[in-house]
Amino acid sequence: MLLDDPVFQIGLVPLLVAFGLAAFIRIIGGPERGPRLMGVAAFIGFLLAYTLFEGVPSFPPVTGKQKLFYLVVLAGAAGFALDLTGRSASLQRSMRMIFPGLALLWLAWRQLAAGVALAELATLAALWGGGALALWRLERAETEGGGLSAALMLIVAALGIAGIAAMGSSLSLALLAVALAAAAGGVALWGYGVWLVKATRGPFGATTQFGGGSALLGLAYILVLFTPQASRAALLLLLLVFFADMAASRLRSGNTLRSRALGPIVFAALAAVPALAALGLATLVSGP
Amino acid sequence: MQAKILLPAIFGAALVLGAPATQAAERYNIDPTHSNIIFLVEHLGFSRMVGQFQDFSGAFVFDTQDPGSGSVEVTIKTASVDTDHDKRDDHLRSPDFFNAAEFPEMAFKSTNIEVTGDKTGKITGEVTLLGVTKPITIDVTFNKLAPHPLPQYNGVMVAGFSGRGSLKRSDFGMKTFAPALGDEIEVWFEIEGHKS
Repeated sequence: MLLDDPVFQIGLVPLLVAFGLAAFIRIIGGPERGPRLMGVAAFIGFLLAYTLFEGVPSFPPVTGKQKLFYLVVLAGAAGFALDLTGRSASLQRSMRMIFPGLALLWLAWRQLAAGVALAELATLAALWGGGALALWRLERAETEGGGLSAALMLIVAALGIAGIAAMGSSLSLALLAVALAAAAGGVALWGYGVWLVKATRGPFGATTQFGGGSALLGLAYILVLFTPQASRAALLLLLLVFFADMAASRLRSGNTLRSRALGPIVFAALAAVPALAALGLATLVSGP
Repeated sequence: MQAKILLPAIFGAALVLGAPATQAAERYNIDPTHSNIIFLVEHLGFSRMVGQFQDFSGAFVFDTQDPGSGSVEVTIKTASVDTDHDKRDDHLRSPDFFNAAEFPEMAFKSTNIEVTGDKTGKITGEVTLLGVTKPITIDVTFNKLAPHPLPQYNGVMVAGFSGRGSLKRSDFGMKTFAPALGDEIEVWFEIEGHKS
């Protein structure tokens, strides 16, 4: 049955649902609110894929993977509230700093309650810093290159995490990362079409930043905390994906249809360089 | 990535009628070198994959005069899962299955022992796996109670049991690739305990 096919569940469903919802929200929301609220499409696409693949997790959740679902729900809802009410830059800045710490606390509560060694505290601090850095870079990419650039970074990073998870012996985390990439891909596809036709850059939106970002950070955190076979060095290298906009800014050219068509592709290719390097490292560490 | 998979197991045992007469309720520590906790899981309908846990500990209380008054407790290190294939074992330790880094132990604790025959009985208890506790019933056969025959054991009293049971891994939130990789897990155990 098609619904039971993992390729359908984690690939096509989030992609098509996110694309369709993005179009719907854009039409219903109008030119002002529509683009700002479109991020909710990626958020819903990912949660739907999660539910199809893993089922609705028990509440209260017990495992890190179950907690991931509620983390994304909460973060996405908070982002949506920001998008709906008009985005407060200072509030978002605070959320970007605080949110990765809260996500870590949520995911690693059991370990923290049992007591952690100094080395583990250093790891947690690094994870917090890395998460805040990733969210900040997504914001910068949106400011510099529009929502499409930030979405492409999220997609490439999610695919990188998928590869590292697969190399690290966790196929379900890998598939969830692919689902995230597909859901963000649905919205990015819409954004790409708008960019081609109208030459306007839509926003990334706080819903995508916190909903998608929480899924990305949550998956990375679960890999580091609970998947010893996953390469931590590869995950660290993957952070460079979030600097793709700095490299791409040097290559930007005109505003012709051709340059608009190629721009996002070149941007994705630049972001893919550190992702491929991270995958290579993960393969070296974990074996094929 | 290995497509084969999994799964859990549990417990330890005690029982039944027909044992040689000794003193009342005695505590026995499980001898891990002569005990096995084994699981079988269906692989895509083709066959059943066999695995076991290498690191576990526990004890049982056994009274030959009143087996129903006994009890069993076993703790298993989930990272010790062994299916004779390193890559698959890594996968089994991952969050897809036993999630050994987040949940390093699984446990069984008996709640009731029912004598069903001359050397058989049913142990009801609770399995805790992945932070979820569910009831399970194990059919147990009492094999032998006697002093160990080898001189280096100094005649320690040894009790031996065999058991069979099953559980659904999805009940514990372990849903990855179910039911293609069997949801129903058959569990076997062969247990020897040394009187403490």
